[in-house]
Amino acid sequence: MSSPDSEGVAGTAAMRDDLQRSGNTFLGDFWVNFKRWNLKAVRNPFVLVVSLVQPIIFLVLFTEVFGNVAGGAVNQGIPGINYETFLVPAIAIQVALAAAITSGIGLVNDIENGMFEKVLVTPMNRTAVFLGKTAAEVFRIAIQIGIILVLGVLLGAEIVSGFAGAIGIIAIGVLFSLWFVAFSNALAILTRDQESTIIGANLLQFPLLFLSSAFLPLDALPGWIQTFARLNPVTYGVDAARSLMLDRDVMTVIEVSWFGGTLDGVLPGIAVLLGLDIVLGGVAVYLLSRASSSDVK
Amino acid sequence: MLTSIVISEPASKVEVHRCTVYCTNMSSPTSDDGPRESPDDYGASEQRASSAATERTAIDVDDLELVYADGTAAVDGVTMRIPEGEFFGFLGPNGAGKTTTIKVFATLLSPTSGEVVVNGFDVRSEPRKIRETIGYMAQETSIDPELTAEENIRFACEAYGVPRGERSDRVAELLDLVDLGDVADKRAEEFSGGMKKRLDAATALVHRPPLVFLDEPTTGLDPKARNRLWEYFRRINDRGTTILLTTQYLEEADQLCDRLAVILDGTIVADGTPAELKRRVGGEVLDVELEGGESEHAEWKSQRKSTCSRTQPSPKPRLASA
Repeated sequence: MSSPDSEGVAGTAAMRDDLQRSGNTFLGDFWVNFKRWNLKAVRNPFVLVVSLVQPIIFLVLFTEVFGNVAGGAVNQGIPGINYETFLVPAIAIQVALAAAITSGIGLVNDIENGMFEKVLVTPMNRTAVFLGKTAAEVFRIAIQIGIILVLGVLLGAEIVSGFAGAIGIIAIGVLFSLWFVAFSNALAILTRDQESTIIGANLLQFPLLFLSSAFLPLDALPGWIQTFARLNPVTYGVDAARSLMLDRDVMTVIEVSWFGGTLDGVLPGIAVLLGLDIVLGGVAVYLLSRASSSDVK
Repeated sequence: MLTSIVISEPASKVEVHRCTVYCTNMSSPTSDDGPRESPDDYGASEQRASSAATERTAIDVDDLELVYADGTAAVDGVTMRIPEGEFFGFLGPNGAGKTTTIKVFATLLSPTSGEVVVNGFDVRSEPRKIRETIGYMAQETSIDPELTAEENIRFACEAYGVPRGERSDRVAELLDLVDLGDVADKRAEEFSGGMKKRLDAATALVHRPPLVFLDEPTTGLDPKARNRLWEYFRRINDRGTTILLTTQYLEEADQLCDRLAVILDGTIVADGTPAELKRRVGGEVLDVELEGGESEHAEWKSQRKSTCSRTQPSPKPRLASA
């Protein structure tokens, strides 16, 4: 081990001269954080894989186990499609849900390992810091949904609206993920605990998925589930994505015929998700700014 | 009257020391005994005070108070001034208010009342200017364990706006400074506690701040790792960087600091050079004897005496009304 020496130690004057900075810009701060969270995602492929594995298991098991039975129920409502085609949009939404949970976990980890405070003490713009983190997570979700779509097509699903439709499904998945990203970050700040955040967010995942139009058409489900499904964001996300997948209006909970055709199924879902994103995003932003404020609470 | 303050548990078995400090230049926390700006308030020698007039000020604090929402007064009337280039130490037990005070200086907490000017900027109106000109090393090691040593320092370079062309040189220079050059590409989670602390210290220096806060930087380290960190801190200070260090260890304060303030219950109860404060070394107990006119300090002591002993904690009288 080399012992510290005084070689190369600059004098005071030299150090002062060195104080020039390139300064911080909003975009620069955004980019720095976007890069850091992407780097962490690549460093931790386990998280990437795990948040994909469960939806993939669902996709394969559901189509193999329930494919024949469920296919009949699906065809009563929407004739002429296989269960794979019906299920893939739901799995895309499930991926968005599962991946969004990791956003809050990332925040809790940052709080626990001191990086949260470390970032607060830098001159970076705090809005840019959190936007960069969220953008990295949304970017990852988009890629994961893309993987699911490719896998679905390989298993026999058909994206009727083609490549443009696939991009649209990814966009809906991202839009859907934002409210859950906000929710998991809010949980993270409130609990400041990794286990609580994971359990809290996971606890919601299955009821949300099963009490919706994700796995079976609403008509085939009991009345109380249909009632719940009308209030469930998953229904809106899945129906919008499914409308694009099938290139026809299959939105089950809002009936509009303003645009004619597929858009009648897609746009109401998008409107509901946007509203939800804004409300929950607002809550998360409020909690984040309170947690990072220097005012004594 | 003798009030005993246990300042720390022994750092490690091999470094048990004992000291009793008699402070003659006791400054009262109540401000009705004259202006705080007199040299005596800082415990500085005449020499130091006269040269201080020409020095620039890194930290200027006037009657800082910080009261938490639950009524706890973590900082209770701190007035102090640290000239540029000084190695200044806060010495005190856990919960004395050292970290809270430093967090106010580092813009992480807003003061309840009082004036705080850091590097010429007010903490309330220009926090971002302060953040650009300080380095802050938190008490808990703060690094991203998933990133390598090199990536941690590079992220800090980007966060502090170090010019793009200088980043690679700066990263190499800092890795060299803290002797982590040969593990630059290893993830920080693989590092020992001492290596993590050194990496943390390096990330606080990327923008060559003229003022660095070190909050209990060596707590929990073995003596060897601690000695190495001390060397880095001396080197940084030799470059002209002002350092404010908090510690529970009198030995650390003695080794590093030009000047010390002993903090207890959110107030500075004694300050001066280590030589002024130190009389005997050999144990972990710091005794502060309050001298001066009995009447002058009688009221203060009656308020304080029950709180100065950690072994018999009791609620602070002032908090009852807060």
